[in-house]
Amino acid sequence: MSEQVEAMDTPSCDSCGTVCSPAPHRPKNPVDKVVVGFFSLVCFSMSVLLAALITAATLMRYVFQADLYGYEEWVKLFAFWLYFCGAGYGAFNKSHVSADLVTAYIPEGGFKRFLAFLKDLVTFAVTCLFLYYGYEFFMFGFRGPLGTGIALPMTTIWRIPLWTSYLAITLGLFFMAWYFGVALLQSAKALLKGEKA
Amino acid sequence: MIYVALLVLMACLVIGVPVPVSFMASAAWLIFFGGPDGMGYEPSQLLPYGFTQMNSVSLIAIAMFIMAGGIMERGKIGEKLIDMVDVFVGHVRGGLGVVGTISCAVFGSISGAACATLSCIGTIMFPRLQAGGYPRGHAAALMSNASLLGLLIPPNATLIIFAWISGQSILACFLSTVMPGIVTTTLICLVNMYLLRGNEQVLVAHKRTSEEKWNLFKERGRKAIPALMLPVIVLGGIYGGVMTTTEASAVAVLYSIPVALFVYKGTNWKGLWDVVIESAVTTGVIMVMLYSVSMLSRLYVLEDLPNKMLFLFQSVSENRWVIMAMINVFLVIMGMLMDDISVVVLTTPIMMPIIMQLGFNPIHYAAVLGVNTALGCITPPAAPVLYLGGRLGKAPINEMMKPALAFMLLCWLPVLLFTAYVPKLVLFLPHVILDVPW
Amino acid sequence: AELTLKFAGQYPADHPGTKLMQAVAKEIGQKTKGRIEIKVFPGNQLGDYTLVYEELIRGTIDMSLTSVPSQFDPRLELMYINGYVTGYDSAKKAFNPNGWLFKKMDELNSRLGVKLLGFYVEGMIGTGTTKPAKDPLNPKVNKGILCRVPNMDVYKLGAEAQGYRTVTIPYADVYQSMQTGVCDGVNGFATTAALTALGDVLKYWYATNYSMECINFMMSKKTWDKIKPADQKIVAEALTRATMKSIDEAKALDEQSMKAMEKKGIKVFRYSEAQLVPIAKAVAASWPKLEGKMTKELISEFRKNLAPK
Ligand code: NA
Ligand code: NA
Repeated sequence: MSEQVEAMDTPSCDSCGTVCSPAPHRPKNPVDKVVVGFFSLVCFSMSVLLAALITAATLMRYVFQADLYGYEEWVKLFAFWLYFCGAGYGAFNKSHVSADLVTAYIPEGGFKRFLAFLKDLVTFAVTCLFLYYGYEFFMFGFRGPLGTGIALPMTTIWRIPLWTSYLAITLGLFFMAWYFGVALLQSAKALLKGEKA
Repeated sequence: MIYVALLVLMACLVIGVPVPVSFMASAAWLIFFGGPDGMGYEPSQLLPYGFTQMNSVSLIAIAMFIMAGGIMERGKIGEKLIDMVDVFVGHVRGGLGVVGTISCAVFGSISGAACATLSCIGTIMFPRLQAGGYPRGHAAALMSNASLLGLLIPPNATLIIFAWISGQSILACFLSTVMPGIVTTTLICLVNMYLLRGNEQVLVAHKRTSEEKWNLFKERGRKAIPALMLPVIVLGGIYGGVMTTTEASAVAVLYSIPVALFVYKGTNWKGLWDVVIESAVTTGVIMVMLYSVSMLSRLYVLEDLPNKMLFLFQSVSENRWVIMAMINVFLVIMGMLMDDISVVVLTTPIMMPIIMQLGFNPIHYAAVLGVNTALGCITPPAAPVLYLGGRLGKAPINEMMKPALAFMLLCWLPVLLFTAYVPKLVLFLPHVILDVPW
Repeated sequence: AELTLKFAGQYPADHPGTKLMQAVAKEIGQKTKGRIEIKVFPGNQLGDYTLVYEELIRGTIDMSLTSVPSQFDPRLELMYINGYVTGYDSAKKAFNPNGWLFKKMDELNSRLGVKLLGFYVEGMIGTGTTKPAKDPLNPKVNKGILCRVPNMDVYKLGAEAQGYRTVTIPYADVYQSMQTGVCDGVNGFATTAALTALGDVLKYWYATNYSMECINFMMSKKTWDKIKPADQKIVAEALTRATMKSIDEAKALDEQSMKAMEKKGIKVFRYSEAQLVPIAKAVAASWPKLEGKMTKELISEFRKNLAPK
């Protein structure tokens, strides 16, 4: 968007809640660079791999009269990595959908800063709770139902351990909590100093 | 307790907590204080439950259709489509608006989302509309409305999600919004011409002879063919029994890459990388929403929310057509508060048992939901497509309000009524093509 | 009651399987003179079969009538192997609680902390198609059908042994794929399930009974150990009777479903147990291919005990 358009009095698109593919932000500090670089690499390779694998299965059926047997087990695994690295990136990017009525309709001031802080606090706390559930979920898959490392849950055909998918979910939740935490620090600072976040 | 959980959800949404986290917050409330005895629920089952729900191949179609639409948008195919449509309708008063509307409908058969349609067709149409003397508020409102056709013409992400949650056929759901989509296209064109009647500023292109038309058609049609092949491959492949929906979506991605890179040369490898990442982020954002809502809706069902809602509706009236009106009002209000995907994921698990109990055809309801969620994208306060239209069309919101309201009253209200109360219109195509019972 | 048990089921509330759960709960309640009270939760209310199985391991659900997931141990697919029954009478023999299969399945479940109490047979599995299969009783003839199989080795091998070309399509896409013609047949559907899920698209139903839809009555080991020996006996006997009852009911239900299919215009082919032996033998010949995941010892023991004669 050009400067001129930014200045218009329309509420901004990403503040009103939408899934509009906003352009990715560029990371500045080295930690973000590594994390975002990892997300980008996973997202890109998983997307291409998924498209290629599913198309290949379709072609196999017609051209070679064969079944790419059990390929959906891989496809689903790749899909979870795509979903949750995309979601992690989304948290860095602040592109998670919100029906942000406060930003659009409440005037600047202490009350608005307080609400922004409250929003970030709730967001961070709830994500941390689910991150904890996610960690337990992952450990269940990683150590098995008896906690002894035997009888790990796996897929039926390729026997892929399911914790490989669970890990994507837990990692996604971890980075969501991380970036929501960063946002909380910023809004807390803004609240204390009384300036615009 | 369920009412407090709903209150928690609403409060979180209003202060701007991201939608998936709002869902989790409401679920967290029930985990601690829900259940028949107020002792809460076992949390260790929630993530595994969401996992088994999400562990589905058909959801991958959403990711693939978003990516294919993004690549085609970046590949600058909009211009070719618009030039092609212009051959047929460019010469009447308000014809340029008609060109934009129909182009949105055509692009809708490639893309599954309204924003992609708006940014693809809108970016090219706005300068042309401005040059054609259209008031900027009118132009922005028109294109915002027209881009919603991307949500009615298949493929369509919201209906894939609906089909996935409700266990209905994706194919039948896709077909259900086609007739409402055609009616909407016609009404948008008519309302556009009606609003511009007697506006001397709007230029009219000179009439073309049939020979000129034919030559233009040949020239521009050739350029548009690679883009138009995509819906042929996707929809033809699905309905012709060549591929499943997910397979078609993956083929669409692999097809759109060379078209964008080499045929239209609209982007390069760097641009391709960017658009794939952007689509992945969009997908991730949607999927986290689906994950959290599948956990939440499980708790809502355990709390018997659908029956409580139905009871509430029935306390107003026992007549199922009156309840249908209440359902529509409910969906419109939800649409004002949230974006399209959130409305579908949140309301479907609650509404489907009600729809079945009242004896409505679930495919009919798919169309009702489809039209309502489309409308929800332009109803303030949460009106993402309207705001995007304002930004792209460089129009302040107050100039857009009057024409936007005209479109809502003269176009969307009739379409809503048609869709809700003439089920035959909705079910015609699903019945003829897929034998879906009336 | 001394013990109140949560009994999880996967069938809807009006399904015969759920009614049987309720009857079992009532019988156990009466015979233990109220010492054990059982609460039935049908329709996946407590989660799907994988989740329920996890909770049986943990002891947070006490009993279930659910499918056995193979995700914790591939050998649990044992009972889904195709070709070891040809009809209801051979099913009664194979599923007897004193038989080899029951003891083996109990042993495998026990390793994970789950006690097997009985089987529930929902019905026989056949092949449904949208175009006629060539020579359906002769396994050597290519049937000319692209057949969808569930994502499990046992079904793929079973279908291929009978002369079908196979494709694995996700369950959610099966109806659409049959309707548009992505595939022409399905394997792995029990008669009633085929009628409910695919009744509108099927044209032919071959009641080849090469397999049956069978799920398990199970109890958490933790719960089982809390029950007094005398009451354990009451529970075990009640579920043995339920197993046999389910097989009788399955026979009636399958016939009822096939009549309903015929009413819908689906052409139904019924065969005698003797006619089906060549198919069963051909399917059994494919069993060694399961050794990779299910171990050689287990498969050879299985063949010794259950191969069709
Ligand atoms: Na579309
Ligand atoms: Na809205």
